[in-house]
Amino acid sequence: MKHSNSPSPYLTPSHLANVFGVFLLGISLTFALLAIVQDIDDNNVRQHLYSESIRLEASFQKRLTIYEEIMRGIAAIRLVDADNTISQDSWDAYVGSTNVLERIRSLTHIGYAQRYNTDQIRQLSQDDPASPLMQLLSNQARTEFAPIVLTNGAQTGDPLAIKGFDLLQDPTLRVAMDSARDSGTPSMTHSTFIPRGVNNPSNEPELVYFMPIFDTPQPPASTAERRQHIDGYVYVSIFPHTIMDRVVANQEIESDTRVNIFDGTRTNGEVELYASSREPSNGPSVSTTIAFGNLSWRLNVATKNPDIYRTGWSYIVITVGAMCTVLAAILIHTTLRYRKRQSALDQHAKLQVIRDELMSLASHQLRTPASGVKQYLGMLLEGFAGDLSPQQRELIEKADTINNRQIEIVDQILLATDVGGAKLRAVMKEEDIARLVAEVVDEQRLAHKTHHTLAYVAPRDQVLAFIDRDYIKVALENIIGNAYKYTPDRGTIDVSVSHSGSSVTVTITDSGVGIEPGDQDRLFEKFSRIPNELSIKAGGSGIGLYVVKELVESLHDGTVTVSSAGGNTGSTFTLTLPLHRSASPKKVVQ
Amino acid sequence: MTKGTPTSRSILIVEDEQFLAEAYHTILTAKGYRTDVAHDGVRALEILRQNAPQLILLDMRMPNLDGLGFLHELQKMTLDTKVIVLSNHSNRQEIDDAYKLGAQRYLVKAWTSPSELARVVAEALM
Repeated sequence: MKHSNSPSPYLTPSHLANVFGVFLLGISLTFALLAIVQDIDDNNVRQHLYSESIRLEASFQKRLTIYEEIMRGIAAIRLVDADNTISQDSWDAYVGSTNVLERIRSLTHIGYAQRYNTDQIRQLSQDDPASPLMQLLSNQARTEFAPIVLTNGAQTGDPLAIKGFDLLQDPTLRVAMDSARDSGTPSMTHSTFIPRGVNNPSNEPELVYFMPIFDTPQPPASTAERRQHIDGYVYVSIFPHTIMDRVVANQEIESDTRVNIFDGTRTNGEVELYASSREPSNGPSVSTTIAFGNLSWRLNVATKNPDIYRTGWSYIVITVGAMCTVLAAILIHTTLRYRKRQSALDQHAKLQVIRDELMSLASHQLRTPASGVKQYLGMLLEGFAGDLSPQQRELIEKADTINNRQIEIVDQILLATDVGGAKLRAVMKEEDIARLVAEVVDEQRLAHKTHHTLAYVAPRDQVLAFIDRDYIKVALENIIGNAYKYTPDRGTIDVSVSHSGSSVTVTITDSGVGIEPGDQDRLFEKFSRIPNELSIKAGGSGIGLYVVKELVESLHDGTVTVSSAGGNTGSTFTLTLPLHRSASPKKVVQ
Repeated sequence: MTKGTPTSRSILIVEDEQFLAEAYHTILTAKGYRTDVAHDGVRALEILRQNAPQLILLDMRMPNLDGLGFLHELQKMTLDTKVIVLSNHSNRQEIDDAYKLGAQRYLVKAWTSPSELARVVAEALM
């Protein structure tokens, strides 16, 4: 029997909210874990970058040392040359033999500037009136000069390669030169742009490194003495980008490392000396400060491929986290649906039990007044109140018949309730089913005072089957009783029993109204009634055949089938029962 | 408990439904039996202690003390009284229990006509 209001299989809004909540929680946890993993990864990247900055600083320091060695080499020439000067020949021999500019590609110039004051220039000009040094005296604002006297430069028109070019005229160069003089140690300019016109089209920042040369064998001890004894400056000029080019070419840092160098010691703010790339960085970076000579540079180191230095755990976290979140949401959803369905099934089962109990209770209660009616009508029929007139007897007998039908219906309902609730207890024994069928046939003939012809063909021998006698009798009574109901008077009902090796078949064929093929599927359903003239007249609960099916099939592992062509051609019901004890357990009392 | 000698042709009707008790009373007195009526098991036991009948017609579902409870108590009393159960419950377990507790017959009220009741009573008292 189908229920019209089955529970919805879909989750309620609160259940869906729970599922969504689990999903959000999973996503949140995944992202939280991802943030932790990414932080660890970023630290790994920073660690790598920090190592790169250390390597970079070492590269710069190495080159600085080389520059100073070169300048000291030149300074040493002065010590061995006559007149305590550096002659052109010595210069050429040194620079040529060392091949400095070829070997140290980051050097663009190397030179020597001699420091003069105005008195010295006048003295020299007296010796050589045509000396180009005389031009320096045209600048009357200064009394000291440092013209280039020896140089190896690369470009024509390059001031740092022009003999006679006064380095002190450039304020930036002057600051470094004065610093070198006063400290007695090499000093580097801040980044400066030395105009070279068409010969320096990139106009990149440049550094000039000065080493002071004194006219004493040892550098003077005090600043005042150093100022007094400064003789000249060895200088080299450097482009930061050429340093970085060499660093990269020599693989002194990883090829994917990006470097930005800033001169941080200028008073007017940082100046970028070098940038390996103008693309914005997509990962972490590390800033460190290194000392380059007297300068303080800020290195900003990043990597083009931060993912290489990451552990890859972030991908695992995202993948696993997403999978776990989805699985958790699915699991919660499935669990909630299962629980909802189970709850609905439990409730349905409980309602079924309550309904069956109510039906049982109601049916038992209905039997009580029917029992009373049976007693009182029986007493009347048996003469307890005296003789009855024929008319009185007829009326009372009709009342008795109707009451018996009511009792029969209640019995059917009770049996159907017990069958549906699996409350039957089968008592299986070997019974002669042929004899049982004969008994039912005889009883039905007596019970139905009609003109039907009920014929029974029984086998000669016993047919022993393992059955519950009472329940199979109920089934036979139902089917043969139906044959009477649905066969017009004077019709025929044929009952036969046959058996094979393992089963017995009881066949009941009537010449009644038949059952349309389209109605046969629902014939054995609970409360099923096929409307026709005789069914309306016969009445009935519509559960008789449902009970027959349950008793034969569920209790005995047998089968019950119907065949009919409909249209008043009669019907044939066939019951098949196993002859021997069944292997499957029968329903038991709860 | 002493063994009681039941009064001849006496029947105790134990039935809580008044109209059924009256019907059984009418049927059985018409057949010459002497009847008493109790509407529950407790009252039935009181009557038994005073005057044991030959036969008890026993309903199963009653207030205070139901049929099975009454049969338990009856067993302790060791009387010669016979019991016919008259019930509207045809539950097999209940039928088995009643027989195990000493009932001679189990009749379903709705299926038992007055003449059939009288016949069964007469057979039981033979």
